[in-house]
Amino acid sequence: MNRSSKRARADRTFPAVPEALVEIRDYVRSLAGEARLPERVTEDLVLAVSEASANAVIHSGSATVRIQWLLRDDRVEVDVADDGVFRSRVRVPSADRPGGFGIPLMAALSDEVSIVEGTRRRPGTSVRLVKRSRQD
Amino acid sequence: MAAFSVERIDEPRGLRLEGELDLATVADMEAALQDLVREGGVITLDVRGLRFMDSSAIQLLIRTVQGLDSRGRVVLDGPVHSVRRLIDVMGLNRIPNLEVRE
Repeated sequence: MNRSSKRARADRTFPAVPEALVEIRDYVRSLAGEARLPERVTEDLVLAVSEASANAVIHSGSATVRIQWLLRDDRVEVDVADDGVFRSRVRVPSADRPGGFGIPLMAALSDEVSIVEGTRRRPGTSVRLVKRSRQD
Repeated sequence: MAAFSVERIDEPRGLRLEGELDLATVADMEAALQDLVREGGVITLDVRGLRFMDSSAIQLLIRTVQGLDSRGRVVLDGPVHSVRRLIDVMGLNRIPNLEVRE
C-alpha cells in the first residue's frame, strides 16, 4: 500500500449552505476511503460530521464551514468549525416542535465529542468528533 | 454526487426516495408527502435507493406520523445499513405508526 495515499491531515472549507452538506459528506467519504476505514466507522463519521455541519449552517450565521481531518494511529479526529456563535441550549422536544437531535446524535455516533463555543467577541465554534478506527 | 429524487408510487401507495435526504432536500419530501398525509392510510416509503438520511428527515417523519395520528401510518421499506443505523440510534422504531420493514 502506498503510504502517501493515506492523508494524515486534510482541510477544506465549504460555504455554510444546505447544498454543501452532501459535498462535505463526499469529502469525508473520500478521506475515509483513502484511510481504509471500516464501512461502519465511515458511516457513523459521515453522519456525525453532516449533523455538525448542518448545525453550523442553521445556527451559526457563519458564511463558511471548515472541515479539518486528522488521522491518528487508532482514531480519526474531524473538526467542524464555523465563524458564528453556537447557541448552547438543552431543548426538550415537545409534541409540537420536535428538534434538537443533532448533538445527542453526534454523541451517539462518535467516541468523543467536544464543542468549543464561540462568543460574540470571539466568534467561531468548533465541534470535534473523534472516532476510533476499529470498533471492536 | 448523489442528488435526491422523490416520486409518487401507487403499488404500494407512497413515495420512492433515492439519493441523499438531508437539510437541503427535506423540503421536497415534505411537499410530496402532503397529499398522502391528507388522504391518510398506509404510506409506504420505498427507501431501498436512499443512501443517506439525516436528523432533519427524522424530524419530518415524526411530524408526519403525528399529522397522520390515527388516520394512518408510515412504512419505511428497505432501509440500507446507514439509514438503519440512524433509525436505531434515534429509537425511531419505538414510535407508533412508524414501521421499519427490512
